[in-house]
Amino acid sequence: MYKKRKIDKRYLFILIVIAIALVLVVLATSLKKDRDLSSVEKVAKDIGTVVLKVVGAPFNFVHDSIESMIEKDNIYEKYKELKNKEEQIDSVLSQNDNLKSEINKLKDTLKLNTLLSDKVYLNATVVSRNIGYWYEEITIDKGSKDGIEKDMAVVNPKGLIGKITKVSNYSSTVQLLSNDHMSDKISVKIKTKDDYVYGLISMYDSKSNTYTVEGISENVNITKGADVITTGMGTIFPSGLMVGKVKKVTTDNFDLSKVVEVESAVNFDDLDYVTVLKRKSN
Amino acid sequence: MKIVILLVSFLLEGIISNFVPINGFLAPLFTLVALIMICPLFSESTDYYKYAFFTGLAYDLFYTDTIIFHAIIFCFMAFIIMRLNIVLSDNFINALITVSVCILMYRVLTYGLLVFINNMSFEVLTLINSILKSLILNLIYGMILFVVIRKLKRKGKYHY
Repeated sequence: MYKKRKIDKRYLFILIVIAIALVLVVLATSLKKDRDLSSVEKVAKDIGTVVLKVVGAPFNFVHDSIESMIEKDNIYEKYKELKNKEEQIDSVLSQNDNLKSEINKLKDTLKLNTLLSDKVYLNATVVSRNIGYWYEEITIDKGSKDGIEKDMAVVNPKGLIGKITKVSNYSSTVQLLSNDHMSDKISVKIKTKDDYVYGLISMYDSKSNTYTVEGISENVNITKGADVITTGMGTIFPSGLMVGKVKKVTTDNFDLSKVVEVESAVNFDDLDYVTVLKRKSN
Repeated sequence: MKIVILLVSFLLEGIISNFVPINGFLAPLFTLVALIMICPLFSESTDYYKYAFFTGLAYDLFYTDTIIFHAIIFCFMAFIIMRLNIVLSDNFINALITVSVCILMYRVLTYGLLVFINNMSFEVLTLINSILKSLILNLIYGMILFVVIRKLKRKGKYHY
């Protein structure tokens, strides 16, 4: 009896070791950034997206109804705000047209086919948010059939959210900027009085919803509340996407460069509809 | 009935995730809670492991980008749940204790493995936060499921 128990324990130990090794290998392989979804995974994700959209429809209806009821309470304030904006819109539109024609003229002169800020828009609905807790991902209801490709930038009306990491036929996974790996080394520029200063996002703090931007020269004057936008350098994010506003400016430990705390323009807790941006190809 | 409870909880986890803040104190883990609550309904442990494996596999395929990771983790959790069910009697308080212990183990295990493969940096506060954020909503869901399953058993609709 004793001998039998001992053998069982040995088998159990070996089984546990094999299981742990298997889990680690599987996890490391499946979380590789450059991994594409297999056809089985694509089909499963598409089915999941459709099912969640159908089953979630009544919940979304109730949620939207409650939100619209709350919005109705503030309708007069919103009307006044929009009225003020409407007065400015004509001048902004004419300025915009003017700038557009100037850009086109410059493109012709320089024989440029695309600009870093040229992009195509695709709107999508969020189907599920951050299931699995650690991955900081959302799933949207647009996939490769809608023209979505890996590494496209994703924004909402307030600013940059993240990028597409996995694509199936009718759904895609968006890795949020709140993920440690994502926010690392994104090139951004901060508006100063008459120019921009360039820096790199080094980390994101979920508690304060802020990014840390490093690599900025000590002798630059940065004001609180200045806009922080993407530079378009690198292969993923087009230029001019809103990242946030400067919250605090400090210097690094050696007093050699500035460290800027940037409050994210996006509230990652509240993502319902997003827009996928595609850089215009030649 | 077991399948229905699992399926509803599985779908509800996906839907509820859309209405709670991503970093808020209401992180749903309904599939795991359902797996805990249906454990006493199984007479054969192999059946329970099969359910755990396929639920985990569905979780991998539908909700995350991992391959059979949750299938194995759910099997391990099924092992823990069965051990706890042997030690603790089947009542309301013990069911909630099992839910709390399982959430704690699940979070520690998944975080530990992600840190081990260098996918995340280790911070004790992050881990503690993740456990605390998962407790409130899932304990409430556990209570609801316990009452529903108890009622179904009393009505004699379910025999095990």
